[in-house]
Amino acid sequence: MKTEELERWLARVPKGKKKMPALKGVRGEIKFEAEDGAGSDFQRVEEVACLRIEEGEVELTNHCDQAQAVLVCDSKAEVARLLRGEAHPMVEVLQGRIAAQGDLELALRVILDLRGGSPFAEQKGVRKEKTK
Amino acid sequence: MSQTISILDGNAFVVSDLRGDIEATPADTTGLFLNDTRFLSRWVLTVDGRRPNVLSTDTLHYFRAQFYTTLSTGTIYVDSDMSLVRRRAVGDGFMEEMIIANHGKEPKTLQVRIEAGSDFADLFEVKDKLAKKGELYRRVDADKLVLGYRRERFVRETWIKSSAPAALEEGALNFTVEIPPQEIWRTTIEVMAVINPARQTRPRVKYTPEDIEPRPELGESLEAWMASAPRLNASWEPIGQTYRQSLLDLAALRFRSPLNPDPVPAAGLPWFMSLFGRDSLITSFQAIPFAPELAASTLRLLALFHGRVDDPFRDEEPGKILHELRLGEMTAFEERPHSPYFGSADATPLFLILLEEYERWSGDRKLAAALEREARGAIDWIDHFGDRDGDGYVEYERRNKETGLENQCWKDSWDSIAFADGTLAPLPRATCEIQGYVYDAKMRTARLARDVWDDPAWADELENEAKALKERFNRDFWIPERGFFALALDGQKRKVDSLTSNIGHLLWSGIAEEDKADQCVRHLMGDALFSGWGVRTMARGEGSFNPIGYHVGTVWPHDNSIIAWGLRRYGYKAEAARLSLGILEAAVFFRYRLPEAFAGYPREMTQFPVEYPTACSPQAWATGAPLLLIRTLLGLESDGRHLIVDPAIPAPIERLELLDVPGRWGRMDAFGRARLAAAA
Repeated sequence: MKTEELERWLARVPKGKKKMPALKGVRGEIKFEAEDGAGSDFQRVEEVACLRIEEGEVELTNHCDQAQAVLVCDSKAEVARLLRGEAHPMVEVLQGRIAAQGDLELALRVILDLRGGSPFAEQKGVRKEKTK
Repeated sequence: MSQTISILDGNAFVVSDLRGDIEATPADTTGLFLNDTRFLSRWVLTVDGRRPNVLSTDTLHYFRAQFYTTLSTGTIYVDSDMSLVRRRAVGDGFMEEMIIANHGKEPKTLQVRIEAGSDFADLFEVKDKLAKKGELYRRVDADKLVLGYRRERFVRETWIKSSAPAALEEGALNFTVEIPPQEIWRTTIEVMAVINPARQTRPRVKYTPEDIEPRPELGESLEAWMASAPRLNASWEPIGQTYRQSLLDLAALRFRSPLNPDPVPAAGLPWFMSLFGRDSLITSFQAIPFAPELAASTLRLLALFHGRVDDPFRDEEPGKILHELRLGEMTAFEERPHSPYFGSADATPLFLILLEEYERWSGDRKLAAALEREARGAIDWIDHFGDRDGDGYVEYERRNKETGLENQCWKDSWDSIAFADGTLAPLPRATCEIQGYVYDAKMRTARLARDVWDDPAWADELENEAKALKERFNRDFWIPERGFFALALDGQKRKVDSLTSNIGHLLWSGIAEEDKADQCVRHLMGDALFSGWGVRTMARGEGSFNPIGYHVGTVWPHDNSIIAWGLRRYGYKAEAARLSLGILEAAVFFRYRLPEAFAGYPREMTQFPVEYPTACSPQAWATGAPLLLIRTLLGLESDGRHLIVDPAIPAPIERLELLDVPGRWGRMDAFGRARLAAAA
């Protein structure tokens, strides 16, 4: 998906709670911020989404009340890719496209679990089934 | 003798020559490294254009070195009247104090110059001699020299600042130094490794020259770490020295990050200062009676990274435990799969083994309960992904053909899995020790399912699966005409018939039937496998045997510690003691720091253990080997309530005490006296 499409996708993510069993037992908020596009190394950013996690369910809202972790991304498209489970968080961090603050363990676990099966992805579940 | 000196702190390390200089070539590991990136590849001191000569070099702590040098007068008849001392401490870069003393009767004016440069090589580039894809730059800021590298948003810089005024140029610091007679001149130079400099305003190195107290990655003092470990008293001094060195090296190899505030053992210096599934798990297992907290942090970190998706590039599958995590440029840009890479077929069962061992030893039910999801995922991986073809055994074959690992067992060099005639076994390979680990993992997980997760039905299922595996393994892997288990089943389900140390791991796991175990013990302690110091990775007489071949004839201390513990499991106390003693005696020749591996020449031929040329040292599971050997000698075990002590001490040791052994019982003491003859 192209950058503009990802940004449009982010703007119209359906509201409401979604099941995410991998996050059972996890609770918290992750704030997603995006750079303003000027290539300023995260100097000017805005909050673009908040992911609320509670007992195996996630919900995307516009604003966090008390985020445990903040992910500052280099673009809104990057935020969309993370939420859709399309980005590998370690790769993005190492490349300098994301900077994480706060509870990094929570942030990494959630993004890795989104990569394993995001409820926001259009094609859910990439798990390979094998039979003996 | 090594011509380099290494100091480390977490995953930062400096390797220099004995003068303290760094003159890296594209393919060697000298330099300052952090997060798998070389931040300094040139660091050369000259005085009036001349290179000092080495008088003496020492590592005061694992993180600090000092270099005593002088300027040659050009003749042996005239003593030099000038000393140069460099004291260096590593931690997020390094701090170097330079002192020049004028011992003469006249004042001196000297031109002191330090050339500095960095190639910002990824450790993989160093290993494989690869070229950079981004842009290198240098500049002089107001008070510092900046060496930099940029590739898109991947930016790494080295900042160099001096406390004494220096004339900075792009690539050097110049000092004009005037020293009165019998006086000294000194400066302190900070070399800071900076990751994404735009987000770091005031990076600092960890130590100053005044720092005497080490602050290892743990954030506690080294003394506190040493004090928290059990105290060892022995009538045989080398075991005490080796124990102390092991604890020191283990402290040095621990690292933490924002993701793991509690430390985890890295695998080894210089190539493996990173998280490795197999290495960190085995090291933590070895250290359980001494520092059980390492197991907890290792389990938590590996659980965090457990496989979620089916990703052939990373050899990742759901539930799998990682092989290796790297943080350098090639990983960042997916030119290597190590973000993390999952090419290990044994880390997943080893994860389950450590989880149960840790819970049984520590009584930490909370962690076991928290990791139930990952444990179930690991079992699921074993059954549905590890067993690739449904034959009931875990086998491996890399899916990443370009940069993945061909051998995904602990003997991961290219030629390690070979038939007795020397031909390589076709893939996929099901090595025997992995089947043992799977058996043990299922038996142990069954215990957790019953006692912690309240799922007796699953426990029964796991035990039945384990018993069935044991039965078919003893049928399918046994080579009756040679009297030992095959090293592996190859891609055509043929028995790979080399005699190797892997059969010792089967004792540790408990998968070998008693009568077969007895025959294996005779092989393990026979001349073909046992060198007199330890069990060779491959027996003399096999087609691929080479006493200086990495996995085909050398002796690996960690391998031997596992075998010794396995011998104890099957009741071969005397053999376990003999093997333990052999490795501990070898440690004396390595100044009490066991290397990753040493040559497999017979002891009676060499009289001393011969070094393996490129062995990592310190290396985590070699560091952990003496700990498991001490456990073996004292027969330390937890029955889930109490500390069991069942010593079998060989004669030279006479008396062995381990005081304040931590566990679910709080702290307990263990004592043993020699009741075994020296050569069992």
